[in-house]
Amino acid sequence: MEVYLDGKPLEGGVAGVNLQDMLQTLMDSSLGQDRTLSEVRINGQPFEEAKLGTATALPRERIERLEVETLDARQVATHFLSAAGQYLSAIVASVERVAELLRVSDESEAMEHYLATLESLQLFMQVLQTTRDALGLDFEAMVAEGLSLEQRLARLAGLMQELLSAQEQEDWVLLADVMQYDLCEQLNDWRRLMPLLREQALS
Amino acid sequence: MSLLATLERLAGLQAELTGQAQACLGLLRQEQLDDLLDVMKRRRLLFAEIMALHQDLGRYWPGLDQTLATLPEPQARRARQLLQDFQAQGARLGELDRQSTVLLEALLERLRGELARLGQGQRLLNAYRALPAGTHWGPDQLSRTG
Repeated sequence: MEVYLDGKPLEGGVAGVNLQDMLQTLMDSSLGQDRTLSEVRINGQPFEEAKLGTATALPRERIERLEVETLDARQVATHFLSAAGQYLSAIVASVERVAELLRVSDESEAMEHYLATLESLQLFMQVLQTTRDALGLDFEAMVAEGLSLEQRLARLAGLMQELLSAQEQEDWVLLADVMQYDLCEQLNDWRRLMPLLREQALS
Repeated sequence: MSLLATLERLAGLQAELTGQAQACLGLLRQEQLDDLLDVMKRRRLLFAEIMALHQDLGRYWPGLDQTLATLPEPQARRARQLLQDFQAQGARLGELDRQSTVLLEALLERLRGELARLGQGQRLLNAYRALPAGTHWGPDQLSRTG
């Protein structure tokens, strides 16, 4: 049987009577603590329980080729933190643009861009939280200008609710105000804090 | 402020706004986002001033022709010229902003793609990291590789 780890053949193969055993052995013997699985392919196909059954039910004999891909937690998270300023700048620019469109009463065009902006912001917040978890960062303990990052994150989540509420009420002036004054301010604070966060993450 | 003075002020501000719209477009093309935000911050102030002037001018609109008729001819001519210029400049401004919006939208879409990829990888990491050390994988854990 051929075994590949991150695209390279694993000399000596891997012990185990079924897929579960083999993966466990691989995790224990060949992977550092900061790496973990991202994908498992069996005979060239992604492993899916629905097709192949559970890992314990897949005997070694049925596996001709096992490919395992891994990811480095710090690498992924620090890459995000390096690029986060750029993501935030683009989101802030879009927030400004949407607010401007709302102020000139171009609601239909504003709504089109508003939804894309909101989606980008939600995605950013999700990745920020998974980065926090992946790197074990303590946002409660990281305080800047009197507020912890956890409080800032909660404030962002609160602002998202305010936006949705203003949108539901079709109060475009309120929506523009919340976006341009409150949200931009919060996002700009996060932009300024990102280098600090990255420094903490790397330390 | 008189009608003509308001129009003159508005013309100056609108020209400045058009210049800023052009700068925004150039900065977006080069993806110089920090500089873009600086320009947009200034633009926000300018925009607010222009909106206030437009609101002020609103009181003249219902009887604009009559108001212009009360002005000395050179002033009335100048006012009409400025009103015409606004329309042309408004169209130019609209086109610049439209191009900027298209670029910004494309940039955001690309960034959303990157964020989605990063998020997916990290969710996988966190799912496995959450397992206690020495945990033996069962079908449930393995299914998390999705």
